[in-house]
Amino acid sequence: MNPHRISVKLYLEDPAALDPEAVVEPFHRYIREDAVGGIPIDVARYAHVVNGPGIMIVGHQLDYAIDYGEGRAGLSVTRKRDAAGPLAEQVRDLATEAARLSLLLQAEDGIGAAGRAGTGEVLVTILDRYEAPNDDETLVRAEPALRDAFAPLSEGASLEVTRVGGTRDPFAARVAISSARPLEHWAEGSAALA
Amino acid sequence: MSTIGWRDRLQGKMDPELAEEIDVFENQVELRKDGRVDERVFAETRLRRGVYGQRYDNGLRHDGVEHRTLEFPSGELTKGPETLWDAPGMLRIKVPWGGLTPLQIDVLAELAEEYSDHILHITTRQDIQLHYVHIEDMPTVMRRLAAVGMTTREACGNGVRNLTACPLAGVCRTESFDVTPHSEALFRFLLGHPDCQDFGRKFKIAFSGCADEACGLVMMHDLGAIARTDIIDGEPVDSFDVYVGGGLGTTPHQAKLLARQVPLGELLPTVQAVSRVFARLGEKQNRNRARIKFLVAQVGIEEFSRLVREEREILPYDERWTAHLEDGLAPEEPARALDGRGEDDADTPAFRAWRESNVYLQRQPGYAVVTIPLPLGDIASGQARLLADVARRFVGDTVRTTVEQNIVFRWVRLEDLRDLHAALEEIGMADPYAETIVDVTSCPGTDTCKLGISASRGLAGELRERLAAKSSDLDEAVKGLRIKVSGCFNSCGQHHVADIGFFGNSRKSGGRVVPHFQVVLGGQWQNNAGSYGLAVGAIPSKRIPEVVDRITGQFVADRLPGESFLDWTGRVGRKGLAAIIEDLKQIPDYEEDPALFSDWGNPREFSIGDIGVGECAGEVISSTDLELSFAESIAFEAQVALEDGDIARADDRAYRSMITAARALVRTELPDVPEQDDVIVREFDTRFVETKRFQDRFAHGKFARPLLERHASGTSAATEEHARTLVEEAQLFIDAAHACQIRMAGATSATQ
Repeated sequence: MNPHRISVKLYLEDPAALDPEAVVEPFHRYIREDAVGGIPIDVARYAHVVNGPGIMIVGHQLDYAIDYGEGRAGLSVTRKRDAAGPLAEQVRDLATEAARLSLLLQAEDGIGAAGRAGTGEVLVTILDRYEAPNDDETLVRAEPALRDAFAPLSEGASLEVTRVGGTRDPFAARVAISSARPLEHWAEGSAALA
Repeated sequence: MSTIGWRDRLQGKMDPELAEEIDVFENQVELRKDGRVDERVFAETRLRRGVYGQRYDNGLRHDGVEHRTLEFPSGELTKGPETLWDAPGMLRIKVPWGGLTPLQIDVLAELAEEYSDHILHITTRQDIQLHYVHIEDMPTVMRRLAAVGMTTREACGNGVRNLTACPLAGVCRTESFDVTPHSEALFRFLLGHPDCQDFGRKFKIAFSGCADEACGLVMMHDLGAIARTDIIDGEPVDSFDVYVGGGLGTTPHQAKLLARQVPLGELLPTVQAVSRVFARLGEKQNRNRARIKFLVAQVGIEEFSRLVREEREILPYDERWTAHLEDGLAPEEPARALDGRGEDDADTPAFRAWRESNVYLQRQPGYAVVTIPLPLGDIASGQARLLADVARRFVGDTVRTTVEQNIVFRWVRLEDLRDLHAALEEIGMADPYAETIVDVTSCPGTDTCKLGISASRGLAGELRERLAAKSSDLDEAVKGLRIKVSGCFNSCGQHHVADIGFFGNSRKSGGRVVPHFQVVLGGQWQNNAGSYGLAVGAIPSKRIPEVVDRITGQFVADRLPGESFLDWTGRVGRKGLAAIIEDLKQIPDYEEDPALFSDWGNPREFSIGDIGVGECAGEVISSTDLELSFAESIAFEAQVALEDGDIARADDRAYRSMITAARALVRTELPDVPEQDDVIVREFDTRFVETKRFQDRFAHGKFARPLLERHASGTSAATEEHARTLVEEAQLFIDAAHACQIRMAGATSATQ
């Protein structure tokens, strides 16, 4: 499977604590300081949109967002171009990016713990209805890669992979990790997992 | 893989003409990547397919401290002058007369997720825009749209833009008759019409069902048609009053009456005649004077009308002028028949507020139009899918977008209002502020537009939030006012026709630039945008909420019984209005109030350095250039077919590319050349081969021969070798056509 776009979302531990507008200034700074991956282009504000992408750093390869999709606040990272490597690696790299974003936000004076994302539950979305329609067949094809992606991040504990959404939605799988490693470990990336 | 996969999967599901258009565009993308199409030609080619530039697409962005270069992988490759290949772009999707179906909404949502930023944006002209789309994804997006009957063709560039109409058409209580079928017929007729390919500037058309309401805002359009019904010999007779030469921008013009009581069957030829006059006489070089309003002002409406009548008389007959009338004008049907229950009496404060502001009773008893306000015209993809489901449940295919950036459901049964409200509440889309002062309209401004000066969306969002918070305390006279915001003087936010309008500009203070908005008061929304507002002064952006408070406060305190805002602004006058906000113009030192030096929603210190070269006007590329460019695309298809071993297709494409190039040359002298190969080849032979104008200095008439021989023989290449030869000759033919055109242009300029 070589999908057009993949997104990984980690959920905020205390969603009500984070005012999305509070990330606008840090997001602009992350662009200025090259603190995020790819070629970041601009900050897009969609906090006024119900269940929308919130506040985004829109980039050439990657989008970063405080994401309110499906009515739950989280930190999502979407790869749009220049994907490389097997699906499992791509997914794990995106999880790493999301964890790094969380750590960056937690280091902000005005945000702190409100930017903390949990690692016990992850939403992986494949935004490519041609390659990956949202059906059980896609789940069968994607599940091994998803398990491979998160196994090194989960202290050997069990993983539960469930397809979510209807057939008109993009393919999405919720990965529940019973004993996940901490966010800081996730943020270290593939090199640290080798 | 997905690109090829979608193309194959959607074969046969698209209108063949649109499908071919998209194939041609895809080829153009490939040719431009290889440097085989000039960047200016490619720019106009993509603009005419709705593919627009976006802010920072020159590869530079001011990060608040300094300008930074965006180092895109494709380096210096461009998709137009100062527009980098990899820079994300905007795709504008036409929604003629605002009509949408739930299936189309589903597909738009899919595309927003897979290629854009999960947002569907409704514009002030009823289009839908996707932002941050890569140029190489555009053909796939276009195919998926075409498969559900949507097009981006001529959504940008110097052509006929989306055709707008009142969202109440057909159900309105005050209209003369339903303009929907006429606007649809005109839209289809003008789409890709040869007479609309040589404009010096864009051309916007609107339809209204009645003259007195805001309706389609005809008076601010390049061309508009207002429905009327007269009793003649005791019988009602429908016709249109046609207006021309309106427009906003830096020099707003009110449209002038071109022709009164134009019979229904004469509407399309009248517009065609206007198009021809505009194409022939409109300004081509100076884009700032190229809209039709300048031509009408220059020659006068009487002379312009005479020219149109003269043109109309010589138009070759076209059966499409009246086909829609002969087919019968079927009225839109409700998805659900009335069950006789009537409207439920029980209500809640939330329902009551929503019922009051968002529901319009149709002229058809028992039905209503419901407005779903979209903040800043935005809706998330997931929400759009949920909204499509609500539409399926209550109204079927009768959804429309509005120029106030909202969505309306038509044919809602009154007995369903409560359930519909509950369904909308469940998905968080039952805001009760439709078409009130809270429902602020805005263009994209500095968020994504290359021309934006100030953050129109940032300001609009701020005003919306503040006004919503105190909406229950607002005076009734204030609640119904309209606020519209443009990011610059180009007026895409339609600030001229708002009660309270703003457009972005800037002022310097202490060596720094401060974002401002010019305040425009007293524009007329009614009477089809019947008059424009008064500019009363530029105020720093961050003080605009204070401007709104003061102006509305003064209006409430000062108004005479029953006096409208429009009348009040007229009575107080520009000087008096300016005095209300005069002190807000003062700019303190940066140290005293640094917040004033940044814009709404953007903490970067304000800069105008990100303003780029606008593509709104498009490139002034002749239709001959474009047709020759299309011929190249077809020749490219021939090469691909040859590589695939498809000899028959290679032969056909090579032949068609020569026909297309020949037609491009013929059309320079015979604009109405029919789409018949025999005629095209005959005219080409007579006008260019026999006159030796197609001859090359060294090759003489050699390059014309393949077309003439292939056409005369009427037989396809039998072998791969024959096909290969024809493909190579086709490329040479197109090169020769280019050379011929250049020689002709040189001869023309030499005689001027």
